[in-house]
Amino acid sequence: MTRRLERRQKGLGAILRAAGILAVAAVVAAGGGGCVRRPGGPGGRANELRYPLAMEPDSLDMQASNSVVTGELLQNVYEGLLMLDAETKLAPCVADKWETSSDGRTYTFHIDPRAKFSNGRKVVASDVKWTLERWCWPETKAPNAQPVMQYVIGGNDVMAGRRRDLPGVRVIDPATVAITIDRPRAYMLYEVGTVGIMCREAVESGHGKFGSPQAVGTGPFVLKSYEPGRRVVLEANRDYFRGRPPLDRIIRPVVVSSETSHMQFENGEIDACAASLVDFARDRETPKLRDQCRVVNTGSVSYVAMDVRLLPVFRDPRVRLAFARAIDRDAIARVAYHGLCPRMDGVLPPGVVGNDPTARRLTYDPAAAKALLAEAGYPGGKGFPTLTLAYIQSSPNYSATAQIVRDNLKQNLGIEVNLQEREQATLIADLNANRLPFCLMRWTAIDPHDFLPTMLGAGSAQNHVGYRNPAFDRLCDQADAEMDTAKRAALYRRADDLAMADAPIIPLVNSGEFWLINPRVRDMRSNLGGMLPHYTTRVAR
Amino acid sequence: MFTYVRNRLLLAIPTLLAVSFITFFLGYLSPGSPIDIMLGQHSDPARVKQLEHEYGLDRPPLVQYGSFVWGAVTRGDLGRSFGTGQRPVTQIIAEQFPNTAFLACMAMLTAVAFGIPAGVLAALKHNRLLDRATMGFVLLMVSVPAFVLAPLLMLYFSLRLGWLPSSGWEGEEVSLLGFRLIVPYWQYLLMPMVVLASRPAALLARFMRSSMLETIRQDYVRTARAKGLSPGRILAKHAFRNAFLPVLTILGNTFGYMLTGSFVIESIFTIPGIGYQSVQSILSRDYPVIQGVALLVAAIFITVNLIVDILYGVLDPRVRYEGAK
Repeated sequence: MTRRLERRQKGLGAILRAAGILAVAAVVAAGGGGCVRRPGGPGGRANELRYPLAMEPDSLDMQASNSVVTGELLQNVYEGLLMLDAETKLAPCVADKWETSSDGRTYTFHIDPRAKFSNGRKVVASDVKWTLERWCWPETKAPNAQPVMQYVIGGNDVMAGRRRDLPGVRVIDPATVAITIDRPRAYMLYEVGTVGIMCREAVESGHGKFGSPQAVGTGPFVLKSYEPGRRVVLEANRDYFRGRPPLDRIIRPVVVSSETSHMQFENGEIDACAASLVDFARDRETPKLRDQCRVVNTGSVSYVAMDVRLLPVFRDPRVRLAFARAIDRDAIARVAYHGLCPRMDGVLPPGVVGNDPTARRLTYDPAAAKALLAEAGYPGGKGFPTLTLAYIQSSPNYSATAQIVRDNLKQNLGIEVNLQEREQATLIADLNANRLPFCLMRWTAIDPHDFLPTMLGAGSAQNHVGYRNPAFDRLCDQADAEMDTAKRAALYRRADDLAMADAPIIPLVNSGEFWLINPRVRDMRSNLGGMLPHYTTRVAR
Repeated sequence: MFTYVRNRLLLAIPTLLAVSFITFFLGYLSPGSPIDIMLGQHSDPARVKQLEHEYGLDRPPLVQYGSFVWGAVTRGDLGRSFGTGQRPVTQIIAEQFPNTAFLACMAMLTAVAFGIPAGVLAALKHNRLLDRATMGFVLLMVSVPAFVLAPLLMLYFSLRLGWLPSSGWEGEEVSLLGFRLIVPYWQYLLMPMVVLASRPAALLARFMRSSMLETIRQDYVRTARAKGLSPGRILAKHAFRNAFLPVLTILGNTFGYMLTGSFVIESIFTIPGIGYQSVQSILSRDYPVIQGVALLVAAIFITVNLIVDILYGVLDPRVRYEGAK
């Protein structure tokens, strides 16, 4: 018995020893040789840009993705007929010219004769038609097709699986394609014009699967590789029809923690990263990093939402106005946003068509707020229910904003507010189900249609506050159909005035993106939508 | 022994079924659906309904669960992820679990290499400076959570000294048993390995010390001393073997913890392992991946516990499984 036991123990010992030796050998072999190649190490190569992806790409198929992070990555691979330039204005891209019919319903695009996919094939009009059809097909499971394609003739039928072809998109000749929508909508040129065009044979070669070989577009970069959980590598499209981009390669390591990516930037392992507001504010005071800080203005508005359907007290506009005038938005901009985000006086952020930089709406006036609340039947906050203000968790600026709102409402109006930090998924689920009576939210878009009528229009599914104002809806309808940008801006300005007179939401600040960019990186451009494709970006040695 | 192992494996089937059932219904009942996350604030009830249909989420929950179990049992198919390009869950696990397993193995070796000798030495030098210093250090390691230790190490060794990369998982790709594994360069391995090993090493040291203290006070050790055996021989042949047996149970659970408990560490150090994947899947309500990972974790614990029980029999002749039900 003892000998048997000893034999077993010896056997076990041998296995353990072998495993140990193997493991140590594996590590030594991997790191051995003295000189270790460190792809993420300090000092990148010239014209090789390294910056993180804040989350895993949800798909390499641009049509199946609804992630902002994935969109920012894939915009370098896929291009639309049109693009938004650094001034957030529509500019030629795959189409070199376009026109809108006199009734405002049909857009005709002329494809640039030089335009070709990264596999070398020329882009033809049928590629555009197939791309838009595929976007609607149920099997694509495209999360964001419906808001756009519902207006293209036949779009709803294709999305419902009742037909496969899209009659609203006509191939006139190989270089000309026409897209017809249901009625004049000024924003639709941007919406349909910027859809990334896909290469049919490349997509079909995957037989239902979508990997790097299927991700073929016309953009300045080619998707070289994707290693889940690690990185995506883009390489310059050397035959890019508008001239080869200056960068040779873009390396996007997947780094979900902003603290980690900040540390990687400080350590020289990456060339740029988006920082949290708290880190960014501190970096601006750090001599080593001060010159590398860049604020990217985006079309974002952070606001307080008050749902009139869920809390009867909010149905009285005097209560909403009292709230708006009792909240010190300057203090929020200064304290919660470290003075980096300007106060907002309307729904439309700076740079968006219709924004009025001179408007001073809903100014902070505690005395007027108190009077309005008393007029509404709640003098000194008596009889007013205790509120719960919900906001997203792990966001110091939301947390600080919520505390300022709570203090302002308590001190200026005598209203008690409880704070509730919520996980993103449950917060969004409750928002979409209209179960959030009082919350802090943020909305980002580019076109005014995606702000005013979308956030506050009577027929919009994204109107999460239940605001109804026929005069406001009429103004928005007029603005949406108006093709003249100046007239359209004036109409939206009036709609913004009207909405702010009712204060269904209280805009707080125009929140942007906060970037750290190494001085070696030049000409990295952005617009209201965030970072642009890297047409011009260069990285010095 | 064979009967014992067979019975334990048979018992694993209902355990795995129960785990999958609980995970599925917890996911189903939790607020916030994958479609909500997918569409964000720009959600539209009509689009939600359509996507729920396209992803099969509008079917009755029992039908969804049944189809998952049927696929898993008949085809080994755990479904497809809702995110990450709708890749098969088995593929995601096969790609990412080897990295987690490699990190766990290396951390386990580190924990054993530090924890066991530290515990033995502390017991042999009971109440002396070495014992107190070791236990003080161990207490510190037990008390400092990974999400504190990891950034501290990163700040010091990466930013201040510049010796190590702050994060990442760069190395050589090797194929092992048909799986693709990234064997990291030691610079990338060192910090996550130390952080993952720190707490288990400290726990092992504490258990080893207690167990050793108890053992060296036993009569048979006193007898061995009286017989004139050398202290080294007493330790190696008599005390250590008996003191190690209770620690073996801890070792098994520790290894299970390391295989599954590296969620925070993988996220901080951006390691493409199963822990990182789980965090992402939970945040995005990617039910198929959550279920797949839960099953994997359950299977790991079942296997590790079975191995520990078998090792018990190997190391301790008093423990026998013949006839065990």
